[in-house]
Amino acid sequence: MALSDQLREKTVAIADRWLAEALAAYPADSAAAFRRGQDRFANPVGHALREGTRAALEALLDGRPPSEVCAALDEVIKIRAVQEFRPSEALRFVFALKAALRAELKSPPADEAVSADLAELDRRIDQAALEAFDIYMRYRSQIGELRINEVKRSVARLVEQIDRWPDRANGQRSPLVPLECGQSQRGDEA
Amino acid sequence: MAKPDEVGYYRQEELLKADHQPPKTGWMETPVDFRPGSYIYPGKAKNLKILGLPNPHEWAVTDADWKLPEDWQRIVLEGMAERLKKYRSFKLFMDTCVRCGACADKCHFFIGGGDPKNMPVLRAELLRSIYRKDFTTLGKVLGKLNGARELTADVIKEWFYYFYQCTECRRCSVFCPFGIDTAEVTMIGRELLGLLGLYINWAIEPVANCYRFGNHLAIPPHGMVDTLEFMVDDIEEATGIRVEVPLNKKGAEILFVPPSGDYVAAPGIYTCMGYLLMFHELGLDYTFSTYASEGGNFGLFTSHEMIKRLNAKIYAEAKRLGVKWILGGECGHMWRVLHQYMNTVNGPADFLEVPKSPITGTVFENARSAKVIHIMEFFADLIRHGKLKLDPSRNDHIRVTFHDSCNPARAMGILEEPRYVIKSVCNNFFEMPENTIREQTFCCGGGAGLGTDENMEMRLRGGLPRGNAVRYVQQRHGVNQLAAMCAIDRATLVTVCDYWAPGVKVTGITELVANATIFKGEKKRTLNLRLEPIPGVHQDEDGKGGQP
Ligand code: SF4
Ligand code: SF4
Repeated sequence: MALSDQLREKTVAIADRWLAEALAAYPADSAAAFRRGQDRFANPVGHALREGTRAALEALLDGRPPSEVCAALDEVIKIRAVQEFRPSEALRFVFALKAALRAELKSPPADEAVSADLAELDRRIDQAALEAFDIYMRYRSQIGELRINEVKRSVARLVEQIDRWPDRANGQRSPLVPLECGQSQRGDEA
Repeated sequence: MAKPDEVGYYRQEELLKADHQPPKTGWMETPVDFRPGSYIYPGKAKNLKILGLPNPHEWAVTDADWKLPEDWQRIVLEGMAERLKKYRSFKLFMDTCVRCGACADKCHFFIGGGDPKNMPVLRAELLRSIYRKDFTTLGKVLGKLNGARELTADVIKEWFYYFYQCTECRRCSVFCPFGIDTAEVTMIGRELLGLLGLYINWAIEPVANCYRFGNHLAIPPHGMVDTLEFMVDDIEEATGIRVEVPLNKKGAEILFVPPSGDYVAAPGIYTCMGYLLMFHELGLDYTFSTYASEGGNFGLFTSHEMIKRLNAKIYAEAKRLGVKWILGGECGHMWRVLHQYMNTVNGPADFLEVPKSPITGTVFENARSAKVIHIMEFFADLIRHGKLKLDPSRNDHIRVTFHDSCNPARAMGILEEPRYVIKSVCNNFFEMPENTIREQTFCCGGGAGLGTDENMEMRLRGGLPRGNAVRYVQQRHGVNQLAAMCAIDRATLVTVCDYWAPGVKVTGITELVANATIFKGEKKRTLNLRLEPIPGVHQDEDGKGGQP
């Protein structure tokens, strides 16, 4: 039996192991809460992890390209990008799929064809993991953009008013100019 | 566990067991790790000085030494003792929790991030552990065995980190069998930090501004006039109607107090234009005030004392102008302050009358004590009596859902009025899932002074449950706008939607009302209040619109 057929029979068990690995990034109590809650609105993180890892695993075993495997993880990666992880911690779970697959193989593959298949799966997981970093970085830079946009939005109207002011008041300065809107790391800076 | 000389030791299963769990020290001993994106910059000394607050000093969250006053432990413990006496709720919340865990997974910060100290029970325990040590006999004797611990500088840092990761939204209290309200524990925690000169700038600067200018943004009276006049121009462009802006008008019937966010930033400004248009249409005898120019009150996120200091201007101005009652704009926490605190801290307002709609004659008995009503109550009553000429089809390109803002919904129970108003002015309204609305609504993640940008990751984690529900209705019903009657929401949910439900825009409700209202003397409406072309209405060559 081909390796992926063997593994496909065990999809549920593999997905479960993989999910456990992904949950292991959180403190034990939190991981338990994310695993427990079945409601997708009360427990969106647990739901995304469960759905995302299952869909990615199916894509992998169906032989779909790594980009599709990774796309199934998009939501999980988006969530991880705002949680308090270092990038390596955030994405470690993608590599953990390799261990989850192996754990469900009865014994190390003796057959050469099977081991070649396994190496191919590994290669595709690695590729998906690399693409996961691309997605992660895209979300991280989006967070930076959101910060900038918010600050811009908060002053856009004032800037517009100041621009429009000279037409109305013969070039006088708008009374809104002295507003300050700076933030600083230290408590003393003006 | 098998030994290396046993077969079991080599079982693949065992070899594969990698422990990715962080080291297991108890939560009490694990010092807080300040992660960028999760904390807010400290309050600037100049703002503390303006307000006459203790220990104004220079410090950064990442400094090892936060330069606490010499006898800081005494200050905190005495502060606690004083508040235990003063606030019975605080004492009850310290004594009552049975650690049943019902609240544990109900906080949006925990749900989105998974930090156990964001479980409401643990957040409160940060303070309770000190309470036990110093205020209970068992804790004094048994110490850690009874969940008590010493008050150290690390505890103060931990308080700062986690009490400023709570939006005081009160969702946890809905699920607690004893009604323990962690928001109130957070409020006391912040007060105690304040005694040491520790504030966040995003709250204390608006407070300092409000103290001097009457509004969070330090808009001086002439700046306010200017701002409103620009809106008058834009309103004329959209509708052909030139509205007047009554300011500081003595003897007006109603004092109107909006949140200042509506003066300056989109999309709040469109809601403010909506106020001006609607009041003009109704011929309301009302006035804005350049002194009581802000209903929002970041004192609520600072201390009880500060609530009182900042809010005093509202009744004082109502008295000076001689109005009969007060109408509040679309704000969330302002509404909580005006309706639940104002009467006790600044009242009694015996010089005011029970609010009565001059158009319908409805007397708002619910506002008998505070003498202030929310604009959604006012509009709902008008619509109910058929006093507005509405064409909801003007909003047909909008598929809208409604976010219950924490304070009006959970604290005040204004659940039906906004829905009634929205459904009257929009043909396409869709509710988000039941466990994410009404009393169970999820916070925007940026309330209670957390709506700044340096803590963006924290806000996005906290906004995840809300954003997740928005995206659900976006995918299921094609929702493209999220309505909210809170100025903080109108600022923070834009970002939450951009990340979690891209494509969904945020709107105030009054904006929707004004866009659907047929005004006396209006020109053919081709632009909405955002000065965007209204889809489905085309512009004729002569500039006049017409239905296709
Ligand atoms: S009040 Fe809101 S933010 Fe604070 S602990 Fe409770 S649920 Fe969390
Ligand atoms: S639900 Fe109430 S009693 Fe139960 S752990 Fe939370 S605060 Fe304590």
